[in-house]
Amino acid sequence: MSPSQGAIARRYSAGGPSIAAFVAIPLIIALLAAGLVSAESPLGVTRVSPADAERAGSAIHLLRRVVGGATLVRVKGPATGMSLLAVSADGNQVAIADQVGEAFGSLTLAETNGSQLRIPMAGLLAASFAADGSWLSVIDGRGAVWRVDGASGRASLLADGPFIGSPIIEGDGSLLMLAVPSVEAPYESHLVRLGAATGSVTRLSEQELVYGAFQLDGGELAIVAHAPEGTSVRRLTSTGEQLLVDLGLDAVNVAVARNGRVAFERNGEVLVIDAPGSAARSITVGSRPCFGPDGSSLLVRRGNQTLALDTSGSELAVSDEPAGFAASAGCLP
Amino acid sequence: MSALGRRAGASVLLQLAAIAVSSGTVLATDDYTLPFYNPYVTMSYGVDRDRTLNRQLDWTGQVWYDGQTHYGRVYDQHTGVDYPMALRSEVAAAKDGTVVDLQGGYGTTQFGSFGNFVKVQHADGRQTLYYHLASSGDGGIATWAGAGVQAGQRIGLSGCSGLCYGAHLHFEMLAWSPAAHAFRPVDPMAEQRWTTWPGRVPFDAAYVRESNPGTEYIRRWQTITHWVDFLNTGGRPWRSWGTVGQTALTTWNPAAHASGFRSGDWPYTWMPTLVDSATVPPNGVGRFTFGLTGSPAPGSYSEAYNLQAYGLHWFDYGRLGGYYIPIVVTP
Repeated sequence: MSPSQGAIARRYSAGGPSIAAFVAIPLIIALLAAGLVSAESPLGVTRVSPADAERAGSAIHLLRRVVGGATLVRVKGPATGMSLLAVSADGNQVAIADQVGEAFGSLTLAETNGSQLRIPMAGLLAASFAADGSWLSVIDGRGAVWRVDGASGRASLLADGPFIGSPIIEGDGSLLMLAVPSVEAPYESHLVRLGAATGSVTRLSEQELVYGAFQLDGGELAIVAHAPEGTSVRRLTSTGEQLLVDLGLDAVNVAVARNGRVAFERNGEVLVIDAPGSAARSITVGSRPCFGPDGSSLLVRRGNQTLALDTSGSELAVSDEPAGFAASAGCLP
Repeated sequence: MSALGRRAGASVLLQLAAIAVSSGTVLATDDYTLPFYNPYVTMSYGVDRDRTLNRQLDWTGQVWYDGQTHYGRVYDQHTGVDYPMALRSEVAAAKDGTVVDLQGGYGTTQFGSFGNFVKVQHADGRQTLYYHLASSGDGGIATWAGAGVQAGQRIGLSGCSGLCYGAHLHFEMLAWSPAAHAFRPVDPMAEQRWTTWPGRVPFDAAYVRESNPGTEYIRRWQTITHWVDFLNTGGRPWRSWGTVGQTALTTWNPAAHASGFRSGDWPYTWMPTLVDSATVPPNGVGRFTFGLTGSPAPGSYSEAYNLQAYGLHWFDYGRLGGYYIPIVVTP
């Protein structure tokens, strides 16, 4: 298991599709016309140097800060509305979508040194970095999963899917994802493993509607499952599924930390359960909670801001830009 | 002379002609209906019947090889039928059934979440799915898991939760696939055997005629008999039996007010009558016969009436032509 493995959960920027495409596309055309970007192979992939990005007004800055023992990466970009899809384990790279969803878009890999790699994709839903940052798994707008090389931007199709959720990349390159019949209306979803060597898809969960999967200390997996009677957190064991926490009705956007702590959203509040059997306690108003790598801090969305909190709800940092924790893949409120 | 009676004739003929052209070969009396009440809502994207990436087979049978969106037809990998509508529009069950699953915890417009939905199991083995609904706290879910629902019953409000790019209802029909050992999407439009093709809202009607399209003159305390015929332009049969959903003529403006013209045959002070026939299928004409007693003091009155699927939903009064009876009570 790799240290960068994180969580499968559907997390996009709040506020809907980005308007950045309207900025980015003319910008790229202008850059091409000015000879500022190189149209090298693979076809359509463009590399932008830090100087060229600054000159064109398209610079993306990664602002790193240690918060509650974790590295918070804030992404300051040229336009509002860009969607942060993934942060690498070391916090030196981010993956950004100019728009999330079905429509044709581009994936931008931005580094702390200011360089960018722009890769056209058939829509974008989610992405995750491999532990060493050398490649990403990317789910496009129709749910197909791709392997994207971090150096060249070359994208190769791994499986048609459809899949949703930020993939968990295992040590051997296998992917854990949620397989669905439809990305738009996922009334059914299963945790599956896409084998790196075989390309075969193996179903791992018994539940009919899985909302997310998370790695626990010790290498086991926890899933968040929806059922008509409510939402629950379950541990996947070698012999089956074990109920950890029953969250009841209307619990959504559930996150599970490696140490088993659970955060979720209900009626506009974020609640935390420290351990199975403990009572849920409200810590703040907000949505889409997710945990830092050791479970002692979390990010939540409130309006257009991202807040870093400790588990009592005390504010550690506030960001007006998209932000995520390094070494905690999938934590992108 | 009733204003309604004078203007109704031409519009009914037009509606009858439209029905003849559009209803296809089969219009079953217990079929699925459109999952909303507003007859002006139209489909934006249908089901992609070809699960291959970049190849779309739309409801008309046309194949597209571009993976692009085609308004009015299809987009790649789409599993349902999209109906754009304003946020918080009423959503109705397409057929009798039982709610087997739902979610209402996401925000009404919470983008990128799984989204709010209701799933209904029907006796014919199919399921229907209503997606992107508003949140429970916003009234988006008007039912509960295990609840029985009737065709045309309001089950929630539309929203834009989940992977949604503008308020719409994603309506999906599912059938059991032995090969997949799971429910899988089917295309209600391509099958052309549901009232979702070409599309009928559950409850709709048009005025046809009445016993006296002019003014009713009633001597004080006298009771006269009046009848009115309406064309069933909805997708649900009208019926006079059962406990919920019977088609009733009711007072209007204000809705369900106690009428001064109630006669002894009225079931309630606000309901002159149920439909006369046991059942009136879609495209059928239903008659509503009732008494009017001249109880009020002598003078001129105007009494408006609407139709109601009892306990489920009011009809659109405007589409009934604004039906009312001018009444003069004489000494």
